[in-house]
Parts: sequence; C-alpha cells; structure tokens
Amino acid sequence: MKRQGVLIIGGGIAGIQAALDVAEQGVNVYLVEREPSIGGHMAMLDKTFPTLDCSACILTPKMVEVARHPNIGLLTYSELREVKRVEKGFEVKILKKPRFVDETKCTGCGICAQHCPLEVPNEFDMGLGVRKAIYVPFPQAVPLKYTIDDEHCIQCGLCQRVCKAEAVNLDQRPEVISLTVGAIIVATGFKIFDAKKRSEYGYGRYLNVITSLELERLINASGPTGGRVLRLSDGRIPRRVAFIQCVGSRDQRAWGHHYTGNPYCSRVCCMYAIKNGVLLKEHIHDIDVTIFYMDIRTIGKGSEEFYQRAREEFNVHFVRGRVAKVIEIPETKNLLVRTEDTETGKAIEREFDMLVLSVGLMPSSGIFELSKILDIPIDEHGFPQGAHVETDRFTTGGKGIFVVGAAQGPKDIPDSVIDASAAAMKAAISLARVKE
Amino acid sequence: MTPRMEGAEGNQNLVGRLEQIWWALNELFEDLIRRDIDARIVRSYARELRNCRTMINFVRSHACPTCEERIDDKLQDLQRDLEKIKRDLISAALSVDEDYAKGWMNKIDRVERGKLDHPITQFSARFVPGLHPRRGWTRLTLPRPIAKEEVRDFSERLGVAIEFEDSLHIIVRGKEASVKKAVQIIWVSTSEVPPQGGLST
Repeated sequence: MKRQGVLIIGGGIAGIQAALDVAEQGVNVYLVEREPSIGGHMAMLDKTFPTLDCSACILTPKMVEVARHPNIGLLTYSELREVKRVEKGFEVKILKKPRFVDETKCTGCGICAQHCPLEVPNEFDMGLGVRKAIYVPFPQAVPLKYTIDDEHCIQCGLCQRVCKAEAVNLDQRPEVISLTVGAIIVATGFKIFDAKKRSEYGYGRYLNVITSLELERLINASGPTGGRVLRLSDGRIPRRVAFIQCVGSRDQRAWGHHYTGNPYCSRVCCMYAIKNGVLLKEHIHDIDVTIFYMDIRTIGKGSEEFYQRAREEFNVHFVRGRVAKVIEIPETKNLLVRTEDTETGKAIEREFDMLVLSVGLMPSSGIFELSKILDIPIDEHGFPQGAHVETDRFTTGGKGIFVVGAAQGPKDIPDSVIDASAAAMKAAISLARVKE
Repeated sequence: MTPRMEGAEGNQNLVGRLEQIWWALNELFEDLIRRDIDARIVRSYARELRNCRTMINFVRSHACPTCEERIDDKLQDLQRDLEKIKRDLISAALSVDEDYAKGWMNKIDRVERGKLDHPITQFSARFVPGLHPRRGWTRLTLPRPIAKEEVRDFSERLGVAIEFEDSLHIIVRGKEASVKKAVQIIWVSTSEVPPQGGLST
C-alpha cells in the first residue's frame, strides 16, 4: 500500500528542506507556495552568517532539486483554502491562482518580458528595482514560469504576440485542486516588522533610512544595483553607515492602548547586522560602519568569533545605546542620530550618509487565517504553538500537523533547516502510524 | 562535448555556450509545440527547459569566486541535462520527418561548436535614485514618441503626476487605480493596437 502524501505549506528554506527530506523517503509531497517562486527570504539574501557563504549558491540547487524531484508536486502561486480532518489524514483544497501563462508551454525564455511596455517596483527587490507586468521575480526563480501581474497589466497583448510557444493565455481562471494527505507541515516563515511604526527613525519619510532587507537587496550581486550599495536619494556611495538594532524587537512601547513593538528578541538581527557591517567594509574600502545596540546576542556556532572579527579585524564600531531620534538634514539628505552611549554615559549626536534599521521578525502575514483553517493554536505573539516547548515543539493542533522554521518563531537559517529535517521525520513517523 | 577552461572565467564561457544550446533547444521546442507534435510528451520538456534556464541564470548572475567548485559541478549537470533534452526533442522531431530532424541537428551542432545565434543574456540592474520605492508608480515605454501636451489632459483628469524621461518613456505616479487607468488610456491613445480582453480589471 502506497503511503499517503504530505502537504507542506510555504516554499522558503524550511519548506524546501522538509519537502526534499520527506520525498527522499519515497513519500509524495505537495509543496504549496503563495508567491510565483519558491525560495522565500533566503533567496533575497546575499551572504549567510557567520560563514559568509553565498546564499544563492546554497539555495538555488536545492530549489531546482525540488522542481525535478519525482515525488514532489510543486504548487506555486497557490494558497491553502480548506482543510478537513478525515479518518486517516486530511482532505485539502488549494486555490491555484491564474498566471495567465500556460505552464506546459512556458520555458522561461523571457521574450515576453522584453516586450512588455510596463515597469513597476519589484516586490522581490523590496521595491528598489523594477520588473515588468509579465515577470519572474528573480532570474533564478523556480519554477521559471512567467506570471502576468493582473494589478498592473493593461492588456496590450504584446506578450501574447511575441510568445512563439503560444504560452500566454489571458483567459486562464483560478483552479481549485483537491488532495488527500496524511500529514501537514507548516513552513510559512516570517514577515519583517513594519519600520514605519518606529516613526522616530524616519523610515518612509527619509529616503536614506532603509531596512535591513532593503540593504540585502542593495548589497546583492543579482540585486537592482548589481551589488553596489547606493543611497536611495541620490545614488551616491555612502561613506558613513549606521545600523540601529532591535527595531520592533525587545520593545513594548505602547501607542495609546496599542503595542507597536514586540517583547521578544528576534534572534537573528545582531548577526545579520554584523554580517552586513563586514560586507559593507569589504564592498566599500573607506566606509565607516557603526552599530547602535542594546545587547549583542551572538546565537549559534561561530557567531561570537565572527562578532569579534567584525570588531577587531574589520573595525566595525559598536555603540551601546538606544537611538532616541533621527533627523534628516534637508540639503544633503544625511541623517543626524541622537543617542546616549550607555557605556560612557555621554549623549552623542553623529551624522551618517545612510541608516539601516535592523527590523525584527514577526509571524508571517496570513498566519492567523491559516491557523483557523488548520485549527492550530497561536501563541501570545501570533506564532503557531508547538505541543511542548522542550520535548515537542513541532507538533501543533493535534496529530499530523507540524510547524517548522521561522513559522514557529524567530530563527536563523541553520536552525530552520534542522527543524525542517526533524519535522520531515515526524511527518514520516505519523504516516507510518496511520498505515498501521 | 564543450571544451573547458579553468576558473570563474571558464565557467562564464561555458555557461555562455550552454545558453546558446539552450536557445536552440528552446526554438525546437516552440516549433514542435506549434506543429502539435507528440504534444503531451513535448510539453513535459517545458519544465526541463525551465530548470536548465534557472541554472543558467544562476551561474550568470552569481560570479561568486568562493563557490566555483559547486558551480563547476552544477555546470556538468546542466550539460548532461541539455544533452538529454536534445536527444528526446530530436526523436520527437523525427516524427515530422527525417529532413526536419536533420535540420535541427545541424543547427544545434553549429551552436555547440560555438556559433552565437542569440545575444548573451545580461542581467541589467535597474535602480533609479530618487524614485521612491515605497510609493506607487509605473514606467511606460510608449509605442511612439509623444509630446508633453498630449498627456497633460490625462494627468489633470485622472489626478496622476506624469514625468517625462524622454519622448518614449514616462513615469506615472499616484494612486494605484488611477495610475493603471492613466497608463491604459495613454497606451491606447499612442498605439494602433486595440486592447485585448481576458484579464479582470
């Protein structure tokens, strides 16, 4: 008797790893991703900490392996709509959104996009780069199927005329796919804290105040600037860059009756800021990098050593102090940062060319709705809750549903991958029990 | 088999050659689709071609010196995958007739030996300083040059700001729905081509 399949929700690094590990055990996997490509946040990164390995070099081969694996059904641009617990598993309904491109004909040649007359901000580049109205989010997307963006397309029909494989199908409609699976793995990742909620830092008002994810795109060789870090206001190379840590993390300031930050530590921000500080030093020879922090938390193997290297070898400056205010100088668009150095007790004011906000990690958008569909509990911060924090953090909402990676709570890449493999094993055990 | 050079430059040369082979296979695929030859089987190669294209794009956009060895391995896999696609598509081409298949074999052979049929893909980064990333805008390439006076009326009527980069490129800013409407109207008014139905608006 063939074992039942596993549904994995979310195609970031955790979902990808879980899919590969389940599929390698001879079990069918359905990997559902709401975006046009798998890859998640890791696909946006340039390097990973603390080894400075190239993110794409690790991720892209895994993405292609998922697309090629005979036991993996890849459902991108699709969303889970309904789940019903049945005797031996779950009956699920998945909505496949129309791409307006026939995937049995599209080879990803990109001729359609070359002819599309529209350019709009590319979400994958955090709006810093552009894409066409018919697009793939990034060149090494998987699957490399083009998608027409319904919101911007003006129906000029040029893509349809130039596609020699006749793949463009403007009449495509949403499709509902029904599946029966034995287990479900939730790997929906995270979203970043909305930096506009910390209005004292000027994000959204001052062009040269950017988030850490925006910096990742600027520093990335395949990003909108080809890896050149430039100021958004004038395209100049910044010579003085500061990072502000804990933006939206370890922060319970209230606005009226509403908390605008999160009380928990996001676990990755110290390390990604240190990594980006080092990368900036490597990219721009004479740059001055300062990190304003509350505490430096170097979680994970090799992280403390990397922090020490950043201080001593790369000369990244660390100032202990919570930044109180950022002011833009109108003439230069430079930024004045006011804080107190809590190690010396002195108030300081310094000018920078660019400011990077190390934004925290939050439950992914749509997780609340998903928790209702799956009938799984949510913790006080909005993350799906595991059965037991020490002995079984993967099982959630009863038998057969598991939660992994940053969907569980803030987590770095190595921990997310370990989680994914562990949950793959849990899912396989759960299927074996169903079989008995 | 394509001859190898060492190092990152060698990888870029090799991927350039493999990209040419990919284009030739892609053309053959498109032609078989148009002729409706072995439709079900041929269509299954769209996925194979896409996966190869992803790897080509990956190597092209990541000249990463620390990952040379890993990329080396992937290029060998890519070579093998393209070879398999070639074999299978040529055998599908044989069901048209022998001359047709021979013609394609010759074409693929030519690109394998170094003839450049397609321009090498360049991933041109596009970043415009001052173009606010967090506000709505659309850049439109017009089918014919346009004078500023021609769009002034749309701009006022639809409440959008229109900025000229040159006579063929404009940036329309404003509320999303108004921007889309303005872009649509300007496109139609500057184009002979009537809009097509299908997408929801």
